[in-house]
Amino acid sequence: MDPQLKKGILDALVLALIKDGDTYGYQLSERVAEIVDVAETALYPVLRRQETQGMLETYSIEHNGRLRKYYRITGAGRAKLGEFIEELSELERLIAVIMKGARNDGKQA
Amino acid sequence: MGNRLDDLKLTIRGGLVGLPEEAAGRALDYYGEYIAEALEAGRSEEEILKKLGRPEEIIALVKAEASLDNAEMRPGPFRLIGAARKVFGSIVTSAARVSLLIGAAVPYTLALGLYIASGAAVLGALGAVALMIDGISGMSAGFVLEKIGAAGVAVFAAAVFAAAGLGLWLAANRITRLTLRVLRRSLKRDWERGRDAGTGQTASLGLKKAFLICAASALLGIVLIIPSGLPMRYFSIWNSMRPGHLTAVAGIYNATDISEIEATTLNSRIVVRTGAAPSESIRVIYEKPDWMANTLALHSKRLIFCEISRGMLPFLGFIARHEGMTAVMIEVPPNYAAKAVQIQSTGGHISVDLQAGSIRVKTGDGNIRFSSRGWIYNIKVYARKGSITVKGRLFDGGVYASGAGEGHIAELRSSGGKIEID
Repeated sequence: MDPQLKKGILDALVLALIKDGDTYGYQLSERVAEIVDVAETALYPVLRRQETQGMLETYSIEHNGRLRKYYRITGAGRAKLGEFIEELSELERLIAVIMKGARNDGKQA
Repeated sequence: MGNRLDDLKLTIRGGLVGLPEEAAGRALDYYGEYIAEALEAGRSEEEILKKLGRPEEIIALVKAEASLDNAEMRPGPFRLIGAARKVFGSIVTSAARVSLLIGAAVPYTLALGLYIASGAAVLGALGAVALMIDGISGMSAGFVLEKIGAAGVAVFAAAVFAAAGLGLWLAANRITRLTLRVLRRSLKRDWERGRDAGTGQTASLGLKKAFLICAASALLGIVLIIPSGLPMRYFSIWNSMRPGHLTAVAGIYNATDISEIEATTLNSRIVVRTGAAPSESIRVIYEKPDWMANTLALHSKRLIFCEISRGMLPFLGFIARHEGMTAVMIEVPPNYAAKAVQIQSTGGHISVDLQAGSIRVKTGDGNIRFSSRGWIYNIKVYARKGSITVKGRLFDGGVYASGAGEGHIAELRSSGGKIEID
């Protein structure tokens, strides 16, 4: 996949996954890995930026004698996710057109 | 926990030394927590190492991110250079490097250029102050109002330069943010272009304050300048206007006591003419502006007039090249002939209409008009920029010489003005 496109989608994906329920770094990383193949190094900057920009907030819960940092989506995060979804549905429409063209080509050949 | 994972954490920790506590701590916490969770979930050391990737890559990325954030929060030339270098270093493939160079080169150069221009404007402010301090120290004792005025000029100029510098800095910051956006986009794991709204606001508040200080200083400068009367004086000199306040200085001598005449001015016109004075006497009339002084004396048959600065106006030397509307007139009786005449001015026009054994005239930007009154001179004329006209005929080349004289010598020089000979 085009790396530029992948980056944008990774951002949306992170927001969407956290919207479904608060989560911590490793768990999120595992979930992302199930869906899309990205290096672990890709995730940390995304989380960090989203946190500094107020799309995510964090809280810590003690677990096995250490702290687990949980991420929770904020109002700003939901708004951003809304924007992503709008953009992606536009993309979806385009993809549908492209796919239809490709199928037609296949028939002619 | 496995040794190799400890090594990885140590490598990352060591690589992040020098980074702000917050950025380094956050990254270390994240990766530490990740490793602990992964081990707890039963992952092998090998799996975890493979998933995390090379520590150099993690370090370069965290550093680049931190320096981009730093540059974004408080833009400046050195932070911009640092961020660009870190981002460039964290990009692995040469194709990405080339595309980054192409994308960022223009805004990056522009931003740095604006920062340099801003620095130059600030240097200009300092230069204006230094120049004025030098000017004030060159002024004579007294003239307190004028000195305050000169200080006002310095404050005003410094404020204007500083405001220009600030404006350029602001523009540079904008371009820097644009450059950072391009840089961020090149960081292969990122795409987001926004920035913290809060920090931008505090920065613009500080700038607003700085601009207000500049405006207040400029105003203070104006308040200091106006009562000093300096602007009006400079203005009248610059525009060759007749000053409002003139003192008449006059001297009358016996023509028989004088065989040589010497007159020097800064920017007043010098007029030497025959016939206007009462018979058998030589008369000197000088219209003195209040920023000038003069000497007028007779030394063994040599009449000497000299216009000098009172030390009231700083940098009078610079603007004295503008010809003034004030004049010194030296009038001689109808049948008078001097042995030697020497006339010199920095910027004034000179008009000489008398007979003399030798005449030497020199001026900077002023014009020269010479009337030989029928005498024939060995004459040499030099006009560097202006034209030379002899009895209505124009001579090119800036030089005219004629050697038909009867032993009388005339030498006329003007570097900026034209020369006319009847």
